Amino acid sequence: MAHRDRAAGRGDPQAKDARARAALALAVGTTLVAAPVRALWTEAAWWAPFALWGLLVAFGVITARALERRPRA
Amino acid sequence: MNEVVLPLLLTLAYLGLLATVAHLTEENERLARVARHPVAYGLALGVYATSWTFYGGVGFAHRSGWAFLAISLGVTLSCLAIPFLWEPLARVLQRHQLTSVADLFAFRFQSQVAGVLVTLFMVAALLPYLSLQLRAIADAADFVGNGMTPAWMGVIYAGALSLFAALLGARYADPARAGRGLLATLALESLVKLGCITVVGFAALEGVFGGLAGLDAHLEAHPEALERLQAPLREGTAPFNALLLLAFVAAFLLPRQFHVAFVSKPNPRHPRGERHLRAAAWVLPLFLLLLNLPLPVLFFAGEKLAEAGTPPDRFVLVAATSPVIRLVAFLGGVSASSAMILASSLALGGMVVNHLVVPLRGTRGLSRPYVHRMRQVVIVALVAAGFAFHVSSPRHGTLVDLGLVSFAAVLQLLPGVLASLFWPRATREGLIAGLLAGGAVWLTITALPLLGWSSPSEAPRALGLDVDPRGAAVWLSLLANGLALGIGSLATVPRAMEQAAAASCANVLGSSSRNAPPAYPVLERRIVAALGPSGAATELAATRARLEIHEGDRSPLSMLRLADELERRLSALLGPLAARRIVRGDDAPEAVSLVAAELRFLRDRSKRRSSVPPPALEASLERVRRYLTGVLDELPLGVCAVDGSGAVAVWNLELEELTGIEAEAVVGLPLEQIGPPWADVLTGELRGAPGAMVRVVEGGEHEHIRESVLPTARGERVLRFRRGVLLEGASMSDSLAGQAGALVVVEDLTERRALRLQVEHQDRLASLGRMAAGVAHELGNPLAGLLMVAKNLAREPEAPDANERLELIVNEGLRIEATLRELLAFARKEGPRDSLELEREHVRLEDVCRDALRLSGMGRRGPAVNFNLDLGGAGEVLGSRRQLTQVLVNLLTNARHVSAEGGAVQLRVRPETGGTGAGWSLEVQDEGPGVPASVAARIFEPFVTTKPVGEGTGLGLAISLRIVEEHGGTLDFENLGPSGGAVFRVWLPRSPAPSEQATDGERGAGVASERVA
Repeated sequence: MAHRDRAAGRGDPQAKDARARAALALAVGTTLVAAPVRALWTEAAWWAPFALWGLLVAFGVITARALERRPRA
Repeated sequence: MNEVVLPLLLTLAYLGLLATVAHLTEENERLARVARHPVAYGLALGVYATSWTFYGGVGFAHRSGWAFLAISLGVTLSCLAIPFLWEPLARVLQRHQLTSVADLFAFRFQSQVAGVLVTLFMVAALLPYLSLQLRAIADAADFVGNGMTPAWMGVIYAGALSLFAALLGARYADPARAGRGLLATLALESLVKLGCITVVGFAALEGVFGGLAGLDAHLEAHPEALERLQAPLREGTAPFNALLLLAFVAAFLLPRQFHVAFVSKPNPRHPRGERHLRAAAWVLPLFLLLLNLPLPVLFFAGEKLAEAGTPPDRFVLVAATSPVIRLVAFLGGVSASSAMILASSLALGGMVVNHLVVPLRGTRGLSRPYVHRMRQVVIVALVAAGFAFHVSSPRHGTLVDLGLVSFAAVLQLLPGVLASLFWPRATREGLIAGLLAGGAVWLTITALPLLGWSSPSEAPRALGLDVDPRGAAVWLSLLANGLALGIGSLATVPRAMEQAAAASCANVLGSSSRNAPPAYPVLERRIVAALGPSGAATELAATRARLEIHEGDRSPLSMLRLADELERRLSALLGPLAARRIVRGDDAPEAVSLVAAELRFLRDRSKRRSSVPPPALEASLERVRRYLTGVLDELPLGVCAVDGSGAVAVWNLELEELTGIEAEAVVGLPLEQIGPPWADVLTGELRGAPGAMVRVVEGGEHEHIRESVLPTARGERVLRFRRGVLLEGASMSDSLAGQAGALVVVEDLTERRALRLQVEHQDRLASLGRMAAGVAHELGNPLAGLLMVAKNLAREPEAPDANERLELIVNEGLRIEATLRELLAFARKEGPRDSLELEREHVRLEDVCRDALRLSGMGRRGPAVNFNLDLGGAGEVLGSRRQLTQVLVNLLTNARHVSAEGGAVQLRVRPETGGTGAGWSLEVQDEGPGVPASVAARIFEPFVTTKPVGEGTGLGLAISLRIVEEHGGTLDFENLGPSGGAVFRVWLPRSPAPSEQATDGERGAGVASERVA
């Protein structure tokens, strides 16, 4: 298993770092659109979902930039 | 009438503009650069937003409230997953030139059935979706025409859009041309969509509400409007999570999304290639956010303005109050629909050809232009089928319902795609079972109700589930698909070819094992059989040109690369299975691993890659490879290594300079083909057989060292070859095991040898100089004395001591004569050994010793010493008794001269094994001061002496050394330490046929010892 991980580049710290950031972004993004936060939509102004969505896009931009800047392996 | 004709003219003009932009982008390099920009790529992915989003979004909001946003939010989440979902998929697709999910499944599971199944599934899912687009435009045209648009105009619109998609799609049927033109068209369409909806939204905000303040006031006055958006989520009546999942998957697996994201993506070899997906991660969500932003405003405006009974899908048009804005809204819809029809038909066209037409028709006679024509026909047929569906289908459901049917179908691809990338254990049986199970649920709950064959809510209720049928369809179909895939895979065993493909998909390095390449005539025959003579010639020539392989090159590595590249090219054209069949025939998938091929592959790729970040492990390996290559290149030795197949794997810089052959030209070639004289020399060297030009100087079974003078790029050089065998490494990975090879190290000895000769020459010159000085000295002294006495005598012939003076002259003359005689004797020893040959006889060493002692004792010069003879063992040697006696006399005389009065000189004879076998050691040991260090190195040279002037010529030891060497022996000396004394040791080989006397002598060894005074 470990051998296969290494072969797939899954054991590399830099690759792990990049994937960890992306996974974090996905987790945060999912949370933003998932039930607890979504409940805000049902009470707030009409533009509230878009504000949340804007945050999500900003998060995507930051993640993409972070991945871009990561040291070239 | 204008309301009827204007939209049509606008549509035609817009489609004409798109076609012009596509054409210009293909022709103009500056526009092409814009089209290749990552942002343009991200915008092109906005083809996701069709008329479903443009018109249907508001309709969806009317029914499901904020849940309509899930269709775009899911895409945003999918974009956050790009680094670990889209990118691995993109790498696999690029490596194997796969152009659709059907290609991916057919390749990964080595199953044509999987490809066929996916294609049928996607075609079935696309038809309602195509029909949806056409219907939306027809409806919009009817609305813009104030209901005066005749029914047949809908056919005209649908026909125009179909024709546009068919013609432009057919133009891009050739994947080589599809890239930039398609991206430019789709990016422009996205901008038009966004511009139109923004304009319409602003117009509604200003025109209907009088600005944001007005909107707020309206919402305060009509809280039910906002409530309509919020209630479905609050009450849980909208399947928000299911929609989120559908959009997450559709973002990259919908055929058109897949085509734009992975097939039309600018080549990753392009320095900025990998940046495209990263840019899409924020461009696409931002685009969708901006596109959706006006929708609530349009929803509120539509609700306010729409008459009762107006379909919510028309709210966007209703909200556009002026005719111009209405035309803008119409144009946005046209843009959304045309982009979708174009990209979808293009994506499905390739799938249908690869997985339905080619398998049915066979690969014989499939030239590239023929395949393109086939694709064009299929694209036209698909759009026509969509149109037929539009005309004939019952108008059940809203735009959203039609769209969701497609999305739910695409969801069925997710388990297979994930298994392809991350689960090598998955089998084709599992995949097919999953697709069938998921497809059955999809058909029952989603598709059949759409066709009016069942009620939407019947199926879940039949299963005892009181849930929203749309959400149920998503979760149930996914569950059924995943379970069937898992159980089916675990219940079956993957085949060898599946395992190889799975490893290739999961392994980012990927290149470690390849199939053995077919011989060139076989390869050519197969390509000709498939593509015809001219098509085959074109493909082979194009592939060779791309790989820079010249026509006569038949080396295994070139064949390997040629076959691989041909398979990739044909895979893009005909699908992976047909390509494999054409190139590999029915060859068993025997994997071979050529180290030379691996190294060449890595080097080529590292040259090609400039700033594309490679996977980290690959980058580490590449750094190690470069480091080791650097070490090899810095060696002052030529290194040539061949791998197990006999191909050159390593050819370092020194060898390049020595041979004038670049590594680029030979790495991968069989060693025999690298050209004369190196092919012969190195091949002979590796085989361990001495070549004609190479002679063995040392060597054993495991190491061979040879030297040779060869013409090289540096001129004629003296080269030393050393051969080594690379053993099979037990620690190597499986793919490299058994790849034992061999190694030749070439050392250029020319300079070293020249330096040695120069030193020897200078040594001789110095020796000659010293000898000349010695001669001058030895002759000069007596001659000077002689001349002085003779001159004095000439002046005083009557002097009373005249006789004594004459005697002095005679003595000095005799001394000169003696010196000259010794010099002649020395010179004679330098010459041929005839004299020794004549004198050779069996000589008893005891006799020699006794003669020498007697003669040495007779000398009047020097102190009186005691000579001790120790015949510990004295036998016979073959040689000259007289000369050997002379040697011992010289040594004994020297010993006597350095000894103090009454001192002792030992003469010992012992049996001793020397350099060439058994023999005798004769040692003369004195108690003198030892040989001074200043002359120790030259003590055996002529005219080197430690005696006072006039007492020795310095020729004794030189003559002795010559004599001993002529007897096959050695002469050396040793200072005995601080207490003084030196021992000179003569070693002589034992006589080959010892006589009876010798045996007697040996018998007396250790007994005979006597003292000679």
